Order: sequence, then structure tokens, then C-alpha cells
Amino acid sequence: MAQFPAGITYRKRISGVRHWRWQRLSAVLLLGLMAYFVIIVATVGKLDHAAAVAFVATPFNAIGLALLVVVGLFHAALGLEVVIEDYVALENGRNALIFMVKAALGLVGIACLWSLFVTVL
Amino acid sequence: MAKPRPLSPHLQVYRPQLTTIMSIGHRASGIVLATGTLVLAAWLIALALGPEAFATVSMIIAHPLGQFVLFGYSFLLFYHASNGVRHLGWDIGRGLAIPSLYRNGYIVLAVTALFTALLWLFVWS
Repeated sequence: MAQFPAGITYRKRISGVRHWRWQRLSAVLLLGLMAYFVIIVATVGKLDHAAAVAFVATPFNAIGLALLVVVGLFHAALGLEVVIEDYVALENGRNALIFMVKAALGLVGIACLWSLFVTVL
Repeated sequence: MAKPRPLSPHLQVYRPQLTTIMSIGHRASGIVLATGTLVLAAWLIALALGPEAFATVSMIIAHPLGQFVLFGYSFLLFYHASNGVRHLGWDIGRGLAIPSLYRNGYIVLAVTALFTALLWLFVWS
């Protein structure tokens, strides 16, 4: 049996493969969503409130934006997790920091999805 | 640690190279782009709150400083995306030789500049 550093269990080593796979899958999804998002930003920037609501409230754009937010934040969470793992030692509160960053991204996601929901209604 | 471990040489002894700068740039742009979700969130929240809040956020975005920040975000987004494709190529074992590493590195920089220019030519025209 291989010896792992303190705090890293065998289970966590297995989930590293999952992490890698999800990072790539979300990256590929984001390529398409990003192209869509850039087109949105370029067109929606000149709209007033009523026109922007009408734009976002169409099923295609509402679902597209929701997907963008969810997949984007998920990709960001996976990426920031690795950055923290690389630079913050376990004994300096690595896991707590990862948890806080993920919680913050989760809150941003909830705020976005809730706003989308309210706008569409 | 009980056992003394070998140390890697300090970063500053290396001459900066395209490959190293682009590598750390991918990470840095990823971190900055994560904060960019806050801008998207602000826009969506303002949209949900109503015309007044939306007008405020629109004003901030339209301000030259806001435009500058968005310009920066778009540049980083195009960089992270095109360099991400480069990474996906490496993941399937493509483009890893030193000459191709430099070639696809310069292609990524060119694509980033081109897309950023095209987007803002469209927005400002």
C-alpha cells in the first residue's frame, strides 16, 4: 500500500481522476457557452431594462444563461481548488479555504439563478 | 517532515520564456475570470431588481473605466479559452514537442488578439 501525506486519503487520490475529467468536460462545454456569451454581451449591452428582460426571458436565453452560470462556476471551483492545493499547505487551512471559495462561488450561482428566475417570471 | 527533501531551484533563476509565461498566464487569467462571474451576477441581479438598479449597473458598465474592465475580462477570456484548447490538445498528446509548443503558443496569442479586436470593433462601431 502506498503511503500518502497526512490529510490525503486513498479515496481523495481516486477522486483526483474525477476532478481531472470534470475539469476537461466543463472546459469543452464552456467553449460553446462562451461563444454564445460573448455574442450576448456584444448585443445586450445597448439594451434598456425592458428590452433586456424580454431578451433574457426567452427560453433559449434563460436556459443558455443558466447553463453558462452553472458550468462556468463549476469550472471555476475546480480550477481554484487546484490553485489553492498548490500554494496553501494543509496545516495553513487549505481545506477551509477551498470550502470558503466554493461556498462563495455557490452563493454567486444561487444569486444568478434566482435573478434569472425572477426575471423570467 | 522527517526526511530532508530535494528542493527545486528558485523561480527567479530561470529566464522567462513564452512557455512559462503562458503557463502562469493561464492560471492567473483563470483566477481573474472567476471574479468576472461577479460582474455577470451584478448584471443579472440588477435585471431582476428593476429598471432603476439596471440603469445604475448599465451606467457603470458604459463608463470608460467599466469598458476598460470589460475589455480586460474579454481579453483574458479569449486567452484562457484558446490556451485551454491548447491544453486539451496536450491532454490527448498533441503539440507537445518544443517547436510545436512555440508555434501553437504564438497561434494562441494571435487568436486572442484577433478575437478581442473583433469583439470591440463590433461593440464600439
